[in-house]
Amino acid sequence: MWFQPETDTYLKVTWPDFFGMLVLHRQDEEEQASPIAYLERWHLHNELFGDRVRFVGVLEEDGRLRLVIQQRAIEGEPATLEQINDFFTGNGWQRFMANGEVAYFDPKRQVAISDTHRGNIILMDDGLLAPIDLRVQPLNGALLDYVIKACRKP
Amino acid sequence: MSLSDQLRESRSKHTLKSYDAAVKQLRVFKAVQPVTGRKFGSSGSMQVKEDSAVYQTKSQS
Repeated sequence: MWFQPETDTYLKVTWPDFFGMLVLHRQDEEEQASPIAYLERWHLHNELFGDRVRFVGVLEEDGRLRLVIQQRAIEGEPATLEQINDFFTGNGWQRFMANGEVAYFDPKRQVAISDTHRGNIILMDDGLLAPIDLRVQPLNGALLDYVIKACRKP
Repeated sequence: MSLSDQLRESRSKHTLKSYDAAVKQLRVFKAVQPVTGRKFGSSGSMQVKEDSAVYQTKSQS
């Protein structure tokens, strides 16, 4: 990750042939995100969290792909876990557990997010939280059914 | 105003503008990251060979 002072942005490059993890996956599916899922994640991130992440391009390295995105740098400090939980649940997200990790589900958009640790969410000085690097995944079919049930568990 | 619009407005008011502040912030946020293996983060350091190809694409957002 590199800060670019001329645009006040960070340039982020994926590891070769690795595009992050999914929030949830079926047993017969890869747990790692595809390049398309990685780009969809950022598209949803922009829509849900008011960001302006841009897809810059693709690097090819020994036949392996690395995707490059550009994200505006935000000033602030790490939010606390309590602030993070209050932020999501206060804005309609339902908390559930996915593979032992905290995750949230938006029943209106049928989208799940995870990786909501302190290093991924900035507390701005007006009290709002700016997510910067969450897993974001649209759900349907069996995964959607599973999450709806998981959200009902106390 | 939707949450997304509020965040868009707030993000634009809280842009981090200096290299020194960015370095300091990266240290602070790295310190609170959970200790995990590489697979939990999708981005990493760039080690690009000179013959690597870069394909420019149109903006997604």
